[in-house]
Amino acid sequence: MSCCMDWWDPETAAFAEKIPCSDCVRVEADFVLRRQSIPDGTIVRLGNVSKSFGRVKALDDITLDVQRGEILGIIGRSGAGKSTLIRCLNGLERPDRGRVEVLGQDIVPLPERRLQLVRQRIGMIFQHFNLLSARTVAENVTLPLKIADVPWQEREFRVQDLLSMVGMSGKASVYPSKLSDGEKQRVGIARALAADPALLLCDEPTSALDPETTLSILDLLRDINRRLGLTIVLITHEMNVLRTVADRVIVLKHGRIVEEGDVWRVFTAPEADVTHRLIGGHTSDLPSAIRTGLRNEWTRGTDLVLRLQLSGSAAGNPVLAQLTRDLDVLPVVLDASVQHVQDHALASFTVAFHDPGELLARRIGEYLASRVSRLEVLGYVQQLA
Amino acid sequence: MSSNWPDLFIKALLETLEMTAAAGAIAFLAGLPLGLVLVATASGGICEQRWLNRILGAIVNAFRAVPCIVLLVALIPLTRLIAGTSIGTEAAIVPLAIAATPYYARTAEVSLRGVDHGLIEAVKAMGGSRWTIMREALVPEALPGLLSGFTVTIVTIIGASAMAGAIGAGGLGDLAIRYGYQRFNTGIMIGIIIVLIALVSIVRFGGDCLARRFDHR
Ligand SMILES: Nc1ncnc2c1ncn2[C@@H]1O[C@H](COP(=O)(O)OP(=O)(O)O)[C@@H](O)[C@H]1O
Ligand SMILES: [Mg+2]
Repeated sequence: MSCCMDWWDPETAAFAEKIPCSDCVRVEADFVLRRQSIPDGTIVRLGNVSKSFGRVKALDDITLDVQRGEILGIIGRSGAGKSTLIRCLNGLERPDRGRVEVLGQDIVPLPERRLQLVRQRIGMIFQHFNLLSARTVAENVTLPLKIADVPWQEREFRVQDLLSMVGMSGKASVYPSKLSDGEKQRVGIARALAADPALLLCDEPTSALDPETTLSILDLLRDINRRLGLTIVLITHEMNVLRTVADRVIVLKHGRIVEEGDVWRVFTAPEADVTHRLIGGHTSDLPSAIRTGLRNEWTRGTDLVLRLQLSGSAAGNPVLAQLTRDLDVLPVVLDASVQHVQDHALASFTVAFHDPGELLARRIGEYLASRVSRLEVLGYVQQLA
Repeated sequence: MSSNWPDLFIKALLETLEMTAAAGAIAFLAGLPLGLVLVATASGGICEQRWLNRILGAIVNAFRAVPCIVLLVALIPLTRLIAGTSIGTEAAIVPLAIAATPYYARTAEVSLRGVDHGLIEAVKAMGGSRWTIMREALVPEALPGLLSGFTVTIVTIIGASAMAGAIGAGGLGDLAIRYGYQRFNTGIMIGIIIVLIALVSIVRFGGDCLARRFDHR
C-alpha cells in the first residue's frame, strides 16, 4: 500500500506515476467506486420493468433495488427470465416498459452511443466464458481497456495486475483454447474487471464448471466483492453457489419476483413454492425405499414420517430429546443435517415414529409444530425395520 | 514446335497471374465488406436492416446464378466502358473481378456468420461499438474461414481466367486454345495442364498454411 501513496497526487486525484503493484489497482478501484455518488447506496434501481418476446412475457413488472457492495443472487427455473433481467441491467435487452436506473441514470431511453459508455462501467461474465479465441489471454483482458480508451502504457500494467489478481499471470501469452474451463472463467473475470466496473453481472458463471473449480471461482468472486466493494449480480442454478456467496436473493417465476430476501432467511424459511422446490433439492433426500413406500393415509402398523426444520437459535434446541421425554415416544432419525448460511444455522431432521396410531400422531404433530420452524408430514410407510 | 515456346509460356503464365492477382485483390477488398454488411444487416445481426439485406442478397444471388462464361460475354459493354477495350488481359480483369466479388462475399458471409454469437455479445457488453465488434470479434474470429474462402475464390478465378482466354483475354487459357486446340500441339497442352495444376496446388497449400497459422480455436 505504501508504494502507492508516495505517488498519489491529491490535487489531480490521480497517480503521478504508475508503479505496478497489485495494491495500486485496488486503491484506484476503491477510488473509482467512491467517486460515484449514487443516492443512498443504490446502484441499480428497476421500476416496473416488463419485457415480452412475442407472446412470451419474459419479465413482468419487475421492481428491484441493488445496493452498492452487495452480492445479489437470482434463482429460478430455466425460462423464468433470469438472463433477460440481467441483460436489461447493461442494456443488452431494452425493456418494453419501466425504468432501469443504473449508476444514477435511466438507461432505457439512452441512444446506443451513450449506452456504450454506461456498458464500459459494467463488467459481465458468461456461462461459456466468451473469450475471443483469436486473441491471447492478455489481449482478451486488454480489450475493454482499449474500448475505454485507456492509454496503452497504462493498459499493460493494468493487465498484469488483473491477471495476477485472478492467478493467471503465467498464462498471459497463451491462447484461450489451451486453458482449462476454470482458467477460462478466471480470464473472463479479469476481463470483466479490466475497466474498473462499478457493477459485475454474472450469468451462470459456474454452470459449466466442475464442483471444485466452482468453489475456487466463487472464492474469487467473493474476494473481489470484499476487496473492491464491487456490486455483483449473479444468476445461478446451484443452491450451493448461492448459499456460499450471495447476501440477498430474488426468486423469479414466469418473469415475476416471487420471493426476495436475505439468503439465510430464504434458505431457512422459504415462502414461495418455487423456492421450496428449488432449494428442496439441496436438503438431503430420503432413501428411495422409504420415499417410494410413503402413503398419505395412516393404516394399522405403519410408521409416521416427519421432516422438521429448526432455524436460527432454535437449531440448538434438543427438540427430539424433549419430545421423547414429554410424550414418551421413540423417534428414529432417518436423516439429519445442520448447515450454516451466513452464520445462521439450519438443522433439518427426518424422523419416523413406529406405529403411533392416530391419536398419538396428532399429539406428536401438535407438540412439534409449536417448537420447530417448519414441520412437514411426509406420510406413512410400512414397517421400517 | 516454334523455338520461342518457353517465352510464350512465361508470358501466358504472367498474364494469368496478373489477371488472378488483380481480380482476387478486388474480390477481397469488395467482397469482405459486402460479406460483413450481409451478416450485420441480417435479422439478429449487429445492425439489422432487413430490406437492405434482402436487396443485397438478391443481387449477390443473381450474379452467382449466371455461369462465368456467360457473365464474361454479357459484361463486354461494361468492360469496354471501364477498360476502354474488351480484349486483352487488363480488360479481362473487369468481368473476372465482378464475377468473383459476389462469390467471395457469400463465402465470407458464411464464415462470419459462424462466429459464436456469445463473442459478439461479450464485446457489446464491454461497451464496444459496431465497428469495434467487427474489427475485434467478427473478422479475427472468422479469419481462418475468410482465408480458406479466399483460397477457393483464387482457384475459381484461375479457372475463370482460363475460360476468359476463349474470348481473347490472353493467359494460359488463350495459349491452350491457340496452340493446343487450333494447332493440336499436345506438348504445349500437357505443359499448360501441369502448370495450372501446380498453380492451383501452390495457392491451396499457401492458403491452408495461412488459415492454420491464424486458427487458435
Ligand atoms: N431473444 C429472445 N427471443 C425470443 N424469446 C426469448 C429471447 N430471449 C429470451 N426469450 C424467452 O424469454 C423467456 C425467458 O428467457 P431467459 O431470460 O433466457 O430465461 P432464463 O435465463 O431464466 O432461463 C424464455 O421463455 C425464453 O424463451
Ligand atoms: Mg439464462
